[in-house]
Amino acid sequence: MNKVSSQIVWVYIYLGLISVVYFFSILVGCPFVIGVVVAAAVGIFSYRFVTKNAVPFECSSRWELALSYLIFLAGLFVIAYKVFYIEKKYGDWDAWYMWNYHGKFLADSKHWKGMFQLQSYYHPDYPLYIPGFLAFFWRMMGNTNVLVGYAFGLFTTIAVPVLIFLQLYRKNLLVASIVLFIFATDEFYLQHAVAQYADLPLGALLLCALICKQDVKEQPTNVISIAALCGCCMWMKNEGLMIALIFMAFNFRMLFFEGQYKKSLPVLLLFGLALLLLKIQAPANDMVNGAHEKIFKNIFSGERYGLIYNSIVYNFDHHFQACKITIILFLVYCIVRRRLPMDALMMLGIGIAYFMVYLLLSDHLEWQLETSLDRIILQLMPAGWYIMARQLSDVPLRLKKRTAK
Amino acid sequence: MPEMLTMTRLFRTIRSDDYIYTKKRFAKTNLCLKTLVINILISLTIATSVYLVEAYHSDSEFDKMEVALKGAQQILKGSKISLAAQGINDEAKIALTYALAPTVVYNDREMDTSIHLLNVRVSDSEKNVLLKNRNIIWQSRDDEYQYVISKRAEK
Repeated sequence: MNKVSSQIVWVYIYLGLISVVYFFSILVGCPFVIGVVVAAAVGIFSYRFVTKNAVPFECSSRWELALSYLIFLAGLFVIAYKVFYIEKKYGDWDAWYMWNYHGKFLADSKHWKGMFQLQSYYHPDYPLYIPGFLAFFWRMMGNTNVLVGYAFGLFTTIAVPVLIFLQLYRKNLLVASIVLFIFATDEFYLQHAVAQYADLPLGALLLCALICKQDVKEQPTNVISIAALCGCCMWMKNEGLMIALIFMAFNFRMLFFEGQYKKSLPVLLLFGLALLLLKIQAPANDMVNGAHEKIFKNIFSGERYGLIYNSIVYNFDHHFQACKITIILFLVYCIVRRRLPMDALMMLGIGIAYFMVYLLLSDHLEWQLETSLDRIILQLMPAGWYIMARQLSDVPLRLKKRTAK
Repeated sequence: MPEMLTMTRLFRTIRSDDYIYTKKRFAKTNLCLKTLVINILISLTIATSVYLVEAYHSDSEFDKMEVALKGAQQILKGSKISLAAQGINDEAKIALTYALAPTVVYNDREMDTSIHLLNVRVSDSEKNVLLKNRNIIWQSRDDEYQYVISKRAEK
């Protein structure tokens, strides 16, 4: 992992830690100053820890370096230019109804529990990664300036393509550049990224975990970062818990065998405890409520399978065309090589899990598919693109041969 | 004394080795995207965008409500109220609910304290009819809406 990637990973881990520390501090009613001191100490320690093993990725020639700078600058410029025309200061529905709204409750240490009395469509049971750090910064600033949430949304918008580019530009500049520009010009991605939804940050966490995982043999301490990122996933959204569990199941050996559990478990327990304490106080989730009754009825409903399948096809045709073509290329490549990476299987596992959630638990399936399936695919897009681009970077291309000389 | 010299020589050797190593490393790492440059570029992009959004997009429904309801936020903090907003668009209702947090605002429940969101064209007589048997605690208006917080009058 290079230095900038490790710094981006640190930002996500640190915001998660701030959120958890702040949640614990208002839960026990300790003065805000103590929370600030703890957060600062955690920040310094975690920065040194996460970024200490970063190594620079060297280019083979000055031309390649100049080209990398040029492409990177052009990518950033396109993102900034396009975002200006679609940006919304207050974000979109989820920001008003959940993340920023819950943050305003958390920013008031006396009345924050009023959040649990909100109607179910405000989802008072949702985890508090974004509301937690927003509330922390708002209290430090002395007002509830919405630009904090906006800046975080924009950071994620930039961080996802930049992470993929920086991880791949040395391996295959052409593939890295194509992915950077696919993200930079994809209006669907940009609109959702600056809407201050939690879907893309969740996707970014999964991407960070995959990047950390890549170097885990050379840098065994990355296990702690991966565990923290899994914890952040749980603390980001309800479905983040499902994603984290699937990630841990596919990487069980790396995270828990040969004494690694001593590193990963404490971090996971910290986030798990925060989530447990939240769930104890919050009302039950409307989707999970009465689940056992609807599961048997829904599993044999052929109509539901058809609806979900059609919706997936529609979304890939209309919003993720580049992704669809790349998936086909990737599958062809895997068939030729006769090797499917474990990470791709994991993504398939997450996709199947989401399919089952829609199939078994959704009460208003048609409406939910219409309003959320595109965002679910968006969650998986950063990690999916990274896995596919990493594999396709191995394809020998003429440009790579030339630059290698 | 000879021992000292040896130590100094040794120290010099280590330093020069270290220097060569660092120089070699520097020469190698010179051909990579610099952390500082990348960080500056990302920070500049974010800072510029934040500045532009503040400069060009600060006239939304949310901004107006935040300003108009500043006084109400202090009065209501932490309480539970109901919202009465007939004929008002959804975005305005959401913006009002958002602006009043951490006050819990119910759309479909009748509470003792309520906030009426009225169009600015609603006359005083119409307003009096709507607020019959209620004591007005606080009111305000902007160029689009009137905001009235009232409490049910005790019989």
